[in-house]
Amino acid sequence: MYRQGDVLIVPVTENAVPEDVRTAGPKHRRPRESMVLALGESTGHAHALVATRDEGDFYPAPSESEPAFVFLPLGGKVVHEEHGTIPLPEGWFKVVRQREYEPRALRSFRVVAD
Amino acid sequence: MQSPATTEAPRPDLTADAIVAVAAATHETWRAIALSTESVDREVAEQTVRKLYVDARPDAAPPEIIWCRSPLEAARLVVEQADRLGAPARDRVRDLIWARGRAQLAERLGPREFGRVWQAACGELAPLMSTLITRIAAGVEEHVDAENTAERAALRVALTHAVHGPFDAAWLPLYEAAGMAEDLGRMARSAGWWWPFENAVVLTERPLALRLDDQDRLHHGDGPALAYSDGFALHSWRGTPLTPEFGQRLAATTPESIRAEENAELRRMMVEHYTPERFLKESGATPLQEDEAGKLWRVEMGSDEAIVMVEVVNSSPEPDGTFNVYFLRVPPDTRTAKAGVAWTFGLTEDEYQPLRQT
Repeated sequence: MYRQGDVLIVPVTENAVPEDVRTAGPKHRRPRESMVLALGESTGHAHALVATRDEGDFYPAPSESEPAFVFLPLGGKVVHEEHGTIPLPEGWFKVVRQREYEPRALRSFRVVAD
Repeated sequence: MQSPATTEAPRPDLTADAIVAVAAATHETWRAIALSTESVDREVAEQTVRKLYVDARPDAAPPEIIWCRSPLEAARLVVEQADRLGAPARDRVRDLIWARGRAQLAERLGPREFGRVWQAACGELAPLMSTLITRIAAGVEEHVDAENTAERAALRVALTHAVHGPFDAAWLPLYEAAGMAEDLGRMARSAGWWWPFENAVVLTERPLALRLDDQDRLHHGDGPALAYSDGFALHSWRGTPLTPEFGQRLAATTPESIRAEENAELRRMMVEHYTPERFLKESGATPLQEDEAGKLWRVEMGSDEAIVMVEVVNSSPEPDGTFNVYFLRVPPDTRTAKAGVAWTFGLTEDEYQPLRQT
């Protein structure tokens, strides 16, 4: 698994991708448009995924508390203005946003954004 | 002044998809109109409302125009000066245009297509707008003692005659995209809520402040989340209504006032407002454990659950070469810093094994 700031990228098997995520299908993107994994709340900087030779699909998270998925047939890299670039091998990945605990009376957790 | 022809019928060249596309393209603009805290354009509002009256009742005298600073001031005036205002006239001045536009569009597109267009054009802003309207109406009523049911009822009736102006922003993009109800759109752009009566129309100013959190809930810790110039205000923490008294206390939170607060729910809001990190630093937190992931801290909170936080160092240096330290609150039963960081990603301590971190 790979961590860039508040985003954790975990290699998974294709079978680990939930049915509803796969049925919903990948997010349509224009050629050479990077896949934005998470937008920073305060800085506007984004964790973006760049697929090797633009071959890759991003499956958005169905809700804020669930992970997104990425398929990179040729591998790729994660880039961010403030964090070092991380190269990624080929395969399926689960993208987990960092969360913070909130007492149950308010909400059980909230998503962190750097 | 232009003829009102465009308010009479939808533009026949616009397909359902085109209407949806135009409404989607103007969505952000309408959101900004709804949440605007700029001063109103009295001249445009007065001109437009006079035109709406002329269209609705060509033979009647023009209405007296009365400005109020807030929906509270307006609702009170509506209750107290019924004779001056005359009978409610919302149906003729506004509702008829609204309903006619809707009916024409429904007829032209057919029920199925109309449903799709309505949902696509209005679906996104509608929950926020209706929440704001409900909260303001409740806030107006709450200005009267709960025991004074007659006065509360009178205010409630007064509120039912209001046109919500900018808070109609969920539906107006659809009308505007279809080339209808342009004067109602202009009213939404130039004034706050307004009340049409036979002899007079009561117009209101926009709020001075309207603050939402990242999930579109009324939210502010350092003062009211919604405030008008006459002092009418709503305090709110992540959508939870607060009494003005607690709103003021929240803004002045100190570690001592947090500890002195007996209500757990209010105490948690105070901690969140003060930030758990600052509270931890200033209230003698105990270091529990330290490992390669960071440092674990704990503050006991008496009968409420303890505040436990991991202190972690950012892996990437700042431009000046230093490393940022930050605190993340984790469940109170967390035993190690690594287990805490693992929890923030939904993993156990054993599962959390990053190959690379930046």
